[in-house]
Amino acid sequence: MQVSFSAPRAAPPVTVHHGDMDMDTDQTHIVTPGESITSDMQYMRGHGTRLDESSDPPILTSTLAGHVSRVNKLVSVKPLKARYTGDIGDIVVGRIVDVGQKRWKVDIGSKGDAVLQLSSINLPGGVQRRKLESDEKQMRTFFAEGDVLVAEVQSFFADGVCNLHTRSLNFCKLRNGSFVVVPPRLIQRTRSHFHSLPCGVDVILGLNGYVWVSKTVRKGGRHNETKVGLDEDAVDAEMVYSNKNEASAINKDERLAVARVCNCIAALAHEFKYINDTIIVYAYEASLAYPDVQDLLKLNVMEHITREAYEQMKNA
Amino acid sequence: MDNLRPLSTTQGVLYGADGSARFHMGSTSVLVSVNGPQSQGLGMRDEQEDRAILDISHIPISGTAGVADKHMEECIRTTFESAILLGYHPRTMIQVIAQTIKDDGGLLAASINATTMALMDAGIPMTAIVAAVTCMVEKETGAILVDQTAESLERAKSIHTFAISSARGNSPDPNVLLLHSLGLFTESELSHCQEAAVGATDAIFAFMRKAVSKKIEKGHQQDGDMQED
Repeated sequence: MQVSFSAPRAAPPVTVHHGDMDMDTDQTHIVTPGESITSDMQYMRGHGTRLDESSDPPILTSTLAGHVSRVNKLVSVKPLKARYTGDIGDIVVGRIVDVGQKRWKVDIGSKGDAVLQLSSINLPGGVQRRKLESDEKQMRTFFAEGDVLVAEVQSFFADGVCNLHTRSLNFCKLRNGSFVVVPPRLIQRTRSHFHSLPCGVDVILGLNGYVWVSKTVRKGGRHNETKVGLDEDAVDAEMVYSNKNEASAINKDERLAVARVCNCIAALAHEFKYINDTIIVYAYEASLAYPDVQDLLKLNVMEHITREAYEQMKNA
Repeated sequence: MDNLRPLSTTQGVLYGADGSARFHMGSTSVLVSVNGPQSQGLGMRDEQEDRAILDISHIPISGTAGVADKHMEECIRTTFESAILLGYHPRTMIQVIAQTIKDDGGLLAASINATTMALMDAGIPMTAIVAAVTCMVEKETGAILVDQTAESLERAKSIHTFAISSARGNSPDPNVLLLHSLGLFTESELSHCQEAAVGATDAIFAFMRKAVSKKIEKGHQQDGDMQED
């Protein structure tokens, strides 16, 4: 086994702020739990803040370690990383952890497991089909434990549990690829979270920080844009719940391309850069300077491709 | 505070955990991982309807957790139950695993400090940060000493571990969350120990804040300018 070591990097200089801060400057304020943000009561308390009434006058204190962000009168503290909190309409990638009565439990990296109800998936035989008792008995043929899927957040239950649905042709069981986890904060809300990269790789950027990287599938499945109407549903439904990778085996080059994109995403996450389709493409191009995919796991290489991608991004 | 042994800490050392930290006080070293708030595993039904529960495991260097570790778990749990805003995440569990790397005196204090750092890394809301330090009264001289090695603790008449919250409000008294004492001592010895502990924990607070700010500043610089595009 090859083992390599790289030298540590120097940390950037730091300025620490204490006490009542001047809210009107553009400077970044970093606070730790219990530290006071302001005693000015005109501000609204957002996430990560708390009114400390034990002191006189009451002061607004932080409950998290992060930087203070101010939008008009709303003050909140944003931590570097936190668990994903869903919003309705978010595209998420998740993994089935439990099959229950009429519903699946899905790990989406949030506080609790999300729920996918049998009634909120598309069943084989078209959208209009009714759910039968037999469907309940064969739920594992649709999704079994360990399956990865992409879904949309439909609603929340009264106790805050997230309810998912897959009632669109975009949402399906995921095959032919790899799974990468990045901090949820790095994935921005964009118009589309499904991207086909020019290198023959598809990327699904889940807002919960779960990313699916796979070979672009042309036949059937959700990438078939030409067919429309009911016919498509019938064809798809059979395909959607298949547990097999694409019939024509994925060859070595395709596997390497997927691995390379995965490593590029991991490198961007390691350097804490926002992740979107453009920067992934730039990082991929920069990474081609290293023919061995495993080289991308080295710290200095990660830094290099990230910097290159970032420069490209700025110039574009 | 010059009486403290050298401090060092690293956050985010474990990839699988939501938050993690290593904390060294001299050669005493603890690695803590924090997971949560998350739903509990199947079959675990001690969830609370109005708050998150804290599940602490203290793991010794070798073997399984004994009575001493269970006792430390209880100390850590009571300390942090008053610092973490558990009501923000009802029906969930926050799991803390503290692995002893090396015990050279003041293990409980190092575990508490490491837990504070790991909780901050995990983004768990807290009213304040918590720091802990071990003080001892020397048998021969009656001197109050702070953060001593295991060898030096052998010469103690009594040993006191203080966990102090950084939130003091307007009160002049320190906000002591935990006091764990061993041995025989007088009231005045204890109050002297507390004074020493307050000084030491103030130094630890400053150290923790600096360490955290350093990490956040770095992360924020990196993604901050991208946001403008």
